[in-house]
Amino acid sequence: MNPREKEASQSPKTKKIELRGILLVVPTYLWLIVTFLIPVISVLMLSFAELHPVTKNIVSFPTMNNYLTLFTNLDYVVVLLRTLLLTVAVTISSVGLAYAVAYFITFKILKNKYTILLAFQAPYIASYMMVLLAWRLLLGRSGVINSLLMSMGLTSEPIELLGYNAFSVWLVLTATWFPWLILPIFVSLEKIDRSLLEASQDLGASPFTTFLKVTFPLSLPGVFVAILFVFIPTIGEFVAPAVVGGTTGLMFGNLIYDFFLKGFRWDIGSAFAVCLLCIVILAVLVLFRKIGFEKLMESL
Amino acid sequence: MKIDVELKNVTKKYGEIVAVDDVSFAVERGQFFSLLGPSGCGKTTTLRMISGFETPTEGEIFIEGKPMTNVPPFKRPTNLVFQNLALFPHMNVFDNITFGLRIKKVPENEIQKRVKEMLELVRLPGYEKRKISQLSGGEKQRIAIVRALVNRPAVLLLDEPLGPLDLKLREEMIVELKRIKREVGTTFIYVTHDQGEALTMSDKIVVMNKGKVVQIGTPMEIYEKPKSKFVADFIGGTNFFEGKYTDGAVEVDGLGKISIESGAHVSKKTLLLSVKPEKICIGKKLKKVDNIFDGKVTESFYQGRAITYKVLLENDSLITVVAPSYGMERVFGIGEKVKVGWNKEDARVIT
Amino acid sequence: MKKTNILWAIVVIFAIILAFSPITILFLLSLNDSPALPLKNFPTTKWYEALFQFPGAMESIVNSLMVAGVTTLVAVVLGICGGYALVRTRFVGKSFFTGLLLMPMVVPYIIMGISLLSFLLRLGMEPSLITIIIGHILLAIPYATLVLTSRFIGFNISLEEAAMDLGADRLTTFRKITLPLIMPGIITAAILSFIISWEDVAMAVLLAGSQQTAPVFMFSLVTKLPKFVPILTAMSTIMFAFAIVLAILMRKAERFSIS
Repeated sequence: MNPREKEASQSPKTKKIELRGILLVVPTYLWLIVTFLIPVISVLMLSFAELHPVTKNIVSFPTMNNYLTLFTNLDYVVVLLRTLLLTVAVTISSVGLAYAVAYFITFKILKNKYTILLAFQAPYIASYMMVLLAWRLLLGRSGVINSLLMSMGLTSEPIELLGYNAFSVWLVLTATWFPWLILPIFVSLEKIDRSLLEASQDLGASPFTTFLKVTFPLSLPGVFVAILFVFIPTIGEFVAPAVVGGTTGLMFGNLIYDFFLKGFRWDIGSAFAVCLLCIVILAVLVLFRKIGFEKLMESL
Repeated sequence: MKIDVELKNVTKKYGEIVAVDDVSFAVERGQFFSLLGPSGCGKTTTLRMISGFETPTEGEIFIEGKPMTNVPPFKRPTNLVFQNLALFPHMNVFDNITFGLRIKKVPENEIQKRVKEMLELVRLPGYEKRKISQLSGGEKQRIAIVRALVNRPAVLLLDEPLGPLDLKLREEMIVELKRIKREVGTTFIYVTHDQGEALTMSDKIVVMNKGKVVQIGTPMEIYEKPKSKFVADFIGGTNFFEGKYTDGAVEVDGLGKISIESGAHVSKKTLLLSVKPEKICIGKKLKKVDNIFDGKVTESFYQGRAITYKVLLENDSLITVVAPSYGMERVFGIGEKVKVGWNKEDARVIT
Repeated sequence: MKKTNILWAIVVIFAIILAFSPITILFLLSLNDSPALPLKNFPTTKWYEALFQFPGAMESIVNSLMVAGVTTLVAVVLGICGGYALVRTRFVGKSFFTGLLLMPMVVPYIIMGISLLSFLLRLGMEPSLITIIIGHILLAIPYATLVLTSRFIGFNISLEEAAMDLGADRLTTFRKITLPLIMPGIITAAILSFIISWEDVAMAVLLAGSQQTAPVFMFSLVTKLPKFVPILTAMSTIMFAFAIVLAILMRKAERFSIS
């Protein structure tokens, strides 16, 4: 069928395209629905049910008991608050550091920008776990940093702060996330029309004021992408706390992990998971409000 | 007569490439001063050095009498209207315009007053709250000018601002610019490659080519008395005749004698003459003209107000004749034999 | 002027140290006698030897490879289908599809993992490499599809029309024109999917059974048998070297396909 004939036969062709389109997306649809949509909805439903600890049968439905367990238990609430605090702290520090590096690469480096960008992500080719392991060895009372400081005579005792605790979790998460955030911010900064910066200076603004009033506002889309990029995984993080968190650095994700893989209280765990999901959805909505959907999509 | 901007032997090199070569000129207060030349002649680089975005390799720049060669742009009493306008997309019209004023911490009521005045000046009253994306090309142009002018700079710099506009809009903007200049009185330095713009608006023109200043003068001087072949040709195009000077006339091989003004002193034996196309008469019979030659029309372009002819002369040289259509009964056709002629005083000697 | 330059230098050097010192130390330690500085008996291969003898260590690397391989295959195929469908066909509910596709990118791993785990267990499955693969494919599909969608957007359809005008049928056109031209996108999607699967810890930890992938192996060793952590330094070095070789090979393949 040559292209001219194609244009003539509109109606049956449209139906053919519709069919082809639908057929092509069915596998993906199926996968997403079966492995994502249905399981998440099941968890949502499970959060409102109470299961018998041994027989796993449904004892009562619907019930708010699971949520009550979360909110009436001080230990759990503390972990939740700590998680929120840590996540916000990590977001601020990692986005800040990533912004500085992205700015440097955009404005102060003239060649090989992308190579340098990629270089920052090189350590992760092997595994996130590998980087976490490295940090575990560095930190800790008998870790590399402490033993180095002591052997050099700079300290006489291991620094407590550098042990396995919440501070370490913050440090490690910042260090592991900021390389990934450089790219979206970089893209945003590169796109800025340089003559706008010149115009700002021509009108009397010093380089610093130019940054504040022109560069930074125009780079916000990339910053928001970066914020989303780090906030969502971090709030559900459980691997890093398990590796460097010790006893005081536990995060909400660890609680969920325990309920599902250790305590086998899926009902309570589901409630916890739903709470986390709500926080995430809230954060996403707030950010979308601020920047608008299209702009976000553009910068992707 | 105060000098607002002065360049002394300014040179700008990028490695081996010399973009601006030993350029000197002075701009008087209140002048409309244009830098005119083809692409790559160094006019934009010169403008950027005046505004502070480039630093001269050699030479000095004075603004209002003070040395400003190394002063950063945000400390200079100049404002630039960028070629691509560079209006801040994330601010509305009002915030764009008041950007510079706020940096200088001008009091609020003064800001309001100036913005209102300026918007009325460019005939866009009430546009304060509009978004940049909502403006048309001509409106953006005017807002960019306002944003610069509202700061009351000593010198307003304009970098080919009319480039992206269509013909009608450009003609309107030329009239607008002249009017604004008249009302505000600020010194304007205008960069363009379009000699029509420069001739229409300027008090003085600097013609540049390949980084050098070729000629400085009023529009009339530049047009009527070009001092070099380049200027004669670049400004409005021209016809060149070369030949030996004998006794009040130039003898061109194959063509004959062209009588020239007796006042044109010549020390050389060979002269180059420039005759502007609109100074040449064309017709079947010519009377009362000093120089008349035979020719054959090879092309004709009817352009409304005028008709442009390409005429082949007896020495096989092709000249351009622009004849007003007023008074012409018909357009001469291709291949027609005609007579062309001009008066003595219409041939310029190019040294 | 100079003051700000020094400030930049400090920030950037700090960033570089933060990003690269951990793994550098890791490599050093893998060749060191003890899992902490100062260097003793440097270099030594005792950890590498211990690694090869440790039960489950090398198998986990092989498992990682298999899981990543299958994930890449499935994700890329689905990505091609999805990308083509989104750009070149019409069907109802494109925005719904796109929305659903992007959702896994905004849900924390822990939630997706436990949901999938509980669902699969209730269906009667046992946690195994298969469950890990299922989870990884879910993670990779959005990225693979995005990459290929943008590749299809940039694709000039008149090339296909020209082929058909010259007599090629749909399959031949696809084979000779479409496929070679989207190959860079396919390779990018493949690299992306592979890396997502290869380095994933969270989903794998949640979905693993008795057979572990390398990150899971490392995680359980760290949390349950901290004494043996030093052999992980050797394991990391091996995995990193392996991944670099793979990355170089894939870059060559990408360059080759573009030319």
